[in-house]
Amino acid sequence: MFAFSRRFALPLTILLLGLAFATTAAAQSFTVTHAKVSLIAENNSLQAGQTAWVGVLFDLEKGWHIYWVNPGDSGERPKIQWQLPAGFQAKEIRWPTPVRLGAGTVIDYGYEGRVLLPVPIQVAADYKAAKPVMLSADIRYLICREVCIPAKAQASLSIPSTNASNAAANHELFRGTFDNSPKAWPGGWKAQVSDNGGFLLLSLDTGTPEPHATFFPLEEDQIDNSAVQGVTPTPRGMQIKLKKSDQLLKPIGTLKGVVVLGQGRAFEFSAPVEGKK
Amino acid sequence: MRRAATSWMIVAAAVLCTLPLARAARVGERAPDFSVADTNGKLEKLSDYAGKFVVLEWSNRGCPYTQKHYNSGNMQRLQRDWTQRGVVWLTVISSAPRKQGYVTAAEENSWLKQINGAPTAVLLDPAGTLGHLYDAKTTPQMFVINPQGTLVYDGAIDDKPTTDRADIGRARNYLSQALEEAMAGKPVSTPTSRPYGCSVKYPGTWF
Repeated sequence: MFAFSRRFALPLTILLLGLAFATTAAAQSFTVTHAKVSLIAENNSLQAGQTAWVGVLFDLEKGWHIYWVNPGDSGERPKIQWQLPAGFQAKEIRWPTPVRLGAGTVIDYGYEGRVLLPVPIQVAADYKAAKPVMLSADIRYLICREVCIPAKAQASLSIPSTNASNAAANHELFRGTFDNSPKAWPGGWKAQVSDNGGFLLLSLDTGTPEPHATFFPLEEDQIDNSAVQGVTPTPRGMQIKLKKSDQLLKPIGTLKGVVVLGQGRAFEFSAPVEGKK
Repeated sequence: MRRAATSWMIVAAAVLCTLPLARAARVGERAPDFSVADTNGKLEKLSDYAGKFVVLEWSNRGCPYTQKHYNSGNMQRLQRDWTQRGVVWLTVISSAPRKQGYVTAAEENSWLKQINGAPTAVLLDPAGTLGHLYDAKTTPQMFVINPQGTLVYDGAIDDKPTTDRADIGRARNYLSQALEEAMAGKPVSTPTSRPYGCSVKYPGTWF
């Protein structure tokens, strides 16, 4: 061990000094955000008066996450401020299906890995394809692992872009994101919510027994995020038992959220709450 | 027989130990009593402050939401204003060892001096026992207990859930509102709100 130390002491010292210097240099230059943030478009062209999908693409470093529209027990949703040409208008983010994050008594809703937040953009009625347009956005987001860092990013995108291979890949990313986003509640399905005091009971009729479900509440503070969601399959669907939040003082009129029944099977849920409040 | 008695005692001990955790504090109900050491080594018991308003403030100085209120001086100002009006202000640190916000008593005391902090005491809760007893989820998170020992507020410090200091001036401060109303003998108009901030860094959680 001693011989090892002597032999490696100098190179090790140099290495450590180098590392210390590199760390300092990085800290001084700018905030390390643990994410690459860019703007991409579903299609490499625009149509006057039509809706175009443009999205903020987050490539998150392993272990880091950002938040859904309802962040859950802690955290904060990302916010986008657009700078668009005259006559263009950005609408709300179409949030992809989130995942549950965390452990114990603090549960959050968000995203890990690569996530695209698509936004429909209304193209100006007098838009002419003659020259490229520039779309820009300031993105403010909270990114967390064990610790949280409020971060900002500036991104812009020119449409059409000259990079055709990127355009095809981007189109695929939008397809994949839409596949993994909540879909409208199917017409033939039924949903009921009853309030039994401490719990909300969701009864879903999808026509077939459903063994798995996770409910994501759209509004903050309606259900106890960290409580186990009890799922009981029924001949024509399932029942989900959700513990109401202790912070809930007003009765819930309508329960809104996303029900995930399996991979690619997420649905927008909204039903009036019946029974005692 | 002896073995059975021992097992029974272990079960009883386990039940007794988990009882306080079974049900967290809830607004409108009696605030659960606790006895936790502060940074000066004194045991702080809630029951010792019967007859006074008590504020519990969950804190983690590494958390940007906590920093928003300390770097701006907002939290220190609230601590000073309310303790001058007779309120007992207990800051609680539930960060587990090696997690963000964990501090020793000496570190916390020197930091308090540096930032001109003015709580009545800072409670060290590295095991998260007090945090779980009150079901504190974020830093900051605020609780108000009235002189009768009833929990009258549980939630956010204000209604602007951001890390932006500029928001403090335009925020409605739920804590001050709850204290003002309760002191005037009125019901608290916003008795709960969704607390915002970083998750409390309890032991065993990975984020």
